[in-house]
Amino acid sequence: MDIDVGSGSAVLRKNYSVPSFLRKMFRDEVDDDGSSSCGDHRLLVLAVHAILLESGFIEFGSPSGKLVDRFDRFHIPDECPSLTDCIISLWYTLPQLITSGSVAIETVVLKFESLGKSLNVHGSLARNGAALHRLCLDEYRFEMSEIDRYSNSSSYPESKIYKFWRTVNDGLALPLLIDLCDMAGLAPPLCLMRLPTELKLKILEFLPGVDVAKVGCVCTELRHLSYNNDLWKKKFVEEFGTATLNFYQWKEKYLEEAGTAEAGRREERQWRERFASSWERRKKRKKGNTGCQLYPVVIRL
Amino acid sequence: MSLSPSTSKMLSLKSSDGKVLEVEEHVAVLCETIKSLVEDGCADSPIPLANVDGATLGNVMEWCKKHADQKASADDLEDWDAEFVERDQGELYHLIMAANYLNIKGLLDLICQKVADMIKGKHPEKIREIFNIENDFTPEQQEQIRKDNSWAFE
Repeated sequence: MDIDVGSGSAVLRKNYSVPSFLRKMFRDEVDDDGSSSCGDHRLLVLAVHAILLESGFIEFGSPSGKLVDRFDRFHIPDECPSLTDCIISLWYTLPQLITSGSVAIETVVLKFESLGKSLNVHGSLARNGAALHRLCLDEYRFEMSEIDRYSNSSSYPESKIYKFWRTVNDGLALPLLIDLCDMAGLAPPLCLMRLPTELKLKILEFLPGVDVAKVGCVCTELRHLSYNNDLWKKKFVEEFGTATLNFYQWKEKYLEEAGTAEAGRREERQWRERFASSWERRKKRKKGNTGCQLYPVVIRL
Repeated sequence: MSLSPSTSKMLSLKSSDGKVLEVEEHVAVLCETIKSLVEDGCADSPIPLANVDGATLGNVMEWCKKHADQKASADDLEDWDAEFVERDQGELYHLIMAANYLNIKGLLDLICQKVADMIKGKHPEKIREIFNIENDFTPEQQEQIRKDNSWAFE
């Protein structure tokens, strides 16, 4: 199985290349399969599997053969979707637990339950089934087929993939990792990057706008996180006060009342850009005052 | 609900690793999660806290004890807090998770502020180094990001 390569070191690697590892997985697993697999549950199972591996898990008792072939029965023939109910289980453990040489290796199990068009996944510790984590993945069916379609272009819908990754990571991979570490007496994952998304976002709320922008330059995950419009609205008020905010809100309201609701909504989404242009203007003013304007600044309104 | 220290009884809190901590009720109710249990009359037996290990629970209760002390002045608390957050990333991680789980706004804000301070004023490369994060941008994305954020760099 191609995506297992190097997974032994994956637990030490803090790699959050959200879309790129999913894309790689699709290239490795689905390429020669062509477009026939678009839209079926196999892609979702593969994607969840890839996210588990990315979180540091390794598959336990790995059967041979390509993953995509093992999930063949997850393909849904369009003509009779309701006849293909089935459950597939995958077991995972951590590399440290295998090398420690204990007799009974603690594992977690994922159960994918396919009922017609709908796909649910349940994750728990394999031994006593405690702390069950459940996700319904129905709404991602279409998006995953999009990843496949867009996997070689730059226009794939990043934010949808990010949302999917975040759902699976926060709702399944991370809690299972914590459960398993706890059960096996391992130190839980410690890096602050492993905090759930809402808490990472909370940390960003404590940063000045200019630092939020810098955080957005660190990696894909933080980039997505740092583009939160509500966050930028707060940062705008903190930095430039409510007077300017009121002006923009008046403009939104005016546009909406003038019947261009779409334009009003567009206005509403632009707090990051507004922050940037106000910042530039202020910087330019300061430079102008001290008489050392070094380069022209582009102002976007 | 106000509970004065003189009438406060003791609560037993049980951590995820089975350690039991005896804490005065007026200290423990700084955790909104525990406060709800007390108000609902569900706090008699040892309260199991499945998501908090013993060491972290000890740290959290140390913070609660200090902040429940009505004699402590604001300046005093500020100095004490500054010292309290001088910890490694692992401990900070546990404290954030615990403060969130136990719903202690003051402690959660304190630790988030501490982490924010670790980030503040740093170049992205330095942030990657501190938090052990891999740069996963493609060269094209990197270029786009550089353009989008040039305003934030001097």
